Amino acid sequence: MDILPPAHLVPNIVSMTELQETPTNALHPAMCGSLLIDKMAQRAATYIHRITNLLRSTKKPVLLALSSVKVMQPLRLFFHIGRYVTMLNNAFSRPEKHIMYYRETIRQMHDIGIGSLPIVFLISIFIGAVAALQFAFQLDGTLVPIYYIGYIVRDFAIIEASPTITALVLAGKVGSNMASEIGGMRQKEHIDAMEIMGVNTAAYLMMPRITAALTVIPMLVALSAFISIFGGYLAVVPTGWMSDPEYVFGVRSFFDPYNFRLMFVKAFTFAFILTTVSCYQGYFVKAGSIQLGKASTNAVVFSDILILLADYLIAVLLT
Amino acid sequence: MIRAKNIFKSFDDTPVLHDISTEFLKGTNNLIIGRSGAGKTVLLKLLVGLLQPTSGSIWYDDLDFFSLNKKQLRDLRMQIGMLFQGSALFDSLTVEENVRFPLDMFTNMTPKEKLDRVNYCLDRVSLPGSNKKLPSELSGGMQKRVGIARAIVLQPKYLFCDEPNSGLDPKTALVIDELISDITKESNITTVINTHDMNSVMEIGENIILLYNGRIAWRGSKDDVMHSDNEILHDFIFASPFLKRLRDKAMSV
Repeated sequence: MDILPPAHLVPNIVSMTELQETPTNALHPAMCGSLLIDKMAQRAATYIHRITNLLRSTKKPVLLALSSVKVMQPLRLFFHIGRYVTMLNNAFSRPEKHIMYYRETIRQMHDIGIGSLPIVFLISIFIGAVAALQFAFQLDGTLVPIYYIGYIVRDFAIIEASPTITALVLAGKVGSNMASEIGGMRQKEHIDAMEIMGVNTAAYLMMPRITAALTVIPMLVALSAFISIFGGYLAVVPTGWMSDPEYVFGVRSFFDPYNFRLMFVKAFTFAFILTTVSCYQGYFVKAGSIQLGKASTNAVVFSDILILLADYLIAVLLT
Repeated sequence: MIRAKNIFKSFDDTPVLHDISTEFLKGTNNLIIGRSGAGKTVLLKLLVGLLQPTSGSIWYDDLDFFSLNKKQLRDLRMQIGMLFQGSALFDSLTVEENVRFPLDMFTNMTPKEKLDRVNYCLDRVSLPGSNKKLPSELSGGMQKRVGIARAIVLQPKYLFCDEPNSGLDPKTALVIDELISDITKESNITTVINTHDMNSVMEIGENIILLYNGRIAWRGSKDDVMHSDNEILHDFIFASPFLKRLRDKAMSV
């Protein structure tokens, strides 16, 4: 049997013609993926090696101590920042085929959105319930009007609890999943296979995930805020702490729409952090199951740290 | 034709390949053989551009691979097919979706045309009707054949195979070897096979290089193997006492 198929079965490869019209920066860069890792790792190692040798050559005790492995380790932070930025640059290239990216985005939206609904629902109920009970207990016997509980629960949920706690939980659920999924693809040579085909793997694996997360996570956060307020209601109204009209009056009091803007700014920022950090950890994973586990853990730990840092910065800048 | 010129490769100051210069010919089964750790996979990854050499160059016909601009590189990549050691099939996709993936990504074919092309390639690797199966439902040999079908679906000019026979029984390994060899001849493509399977060497080895400690220790064809007096080659090819006895018997006749 001949490999050359009948004429109507010959694939009409669009790249040869269409790529002529494609902007250069939209194409898959040669230094993507493994090649990128190889080149950057080599460069970073060379620089660190040179600095270490330079410090050692002085033979001065202080500089010798500086050249030790532990002291030089923080230099790797610059390497990671550089590689993260380069990865994002590759990830936001023009897709080879929009329909493929669209399908992947829809799949990711389903996984992140629908897949996370039960956990978001559960934590939100308890966030609201605990907040309401705690404030009810603290305000009991004071001169502060009881309806303030509804007002406090609402603002606490919208401004802080829903965006932050939802993002932290999603970093554990979605982030670790992304890191292990992409890391598994790297280890099983799926990413290499795609690169050899000419696919921009950074874009194909990350852009749909980032787009899906930026679309779905703010929706989850908004839903979480609503459920938290309802959770607060369940905790204090049926148990007799306060009446239904008091709680509803509290929830409707002193409403400032700016808080919603703050909530969505946080939601978008946290969604971006948790997806890009998790994708980064998975994309550059090394061989071995221990490394894969480590990447998954790092995805959650670094996402959580950066989310909390971002939360603080947003609070400082926007309030 | 693919040419490697004075390739050196090292990882963190540890040299892996030293001054590799060789040619991989068109329409020929080009084999890279050697013991584990000899540098075969690194050389193959350098050839396909997954790694970059510390120094040296790789030429695809008259194109210097590492001097290409993005568009040229992308165009060249479309002409490269690769079969991975572990097949590298996407677990969550069916056989049909796996083979169709490059068509979906790079062509404007209609769904009917794509299906016809996928079926044609699956027929070519003797797997008709397995379209809806998942990779996990296939044997190792079948997965390799799906990998070959995916590698040839865009009609590549260059085919790379990394350990195509690893983990396969001798009979299935032979089927895979024949398939790769047939495809190479029929479509006159440049095929580079990385293997340590002796049956492959003696069956399809037309242009063989033996790597030893990152250097080319021997080159020739399957016909030259028996008559070579290269110690490293003989230690490698006739590693088992059984094969050694067989060779001595053959030489004494």
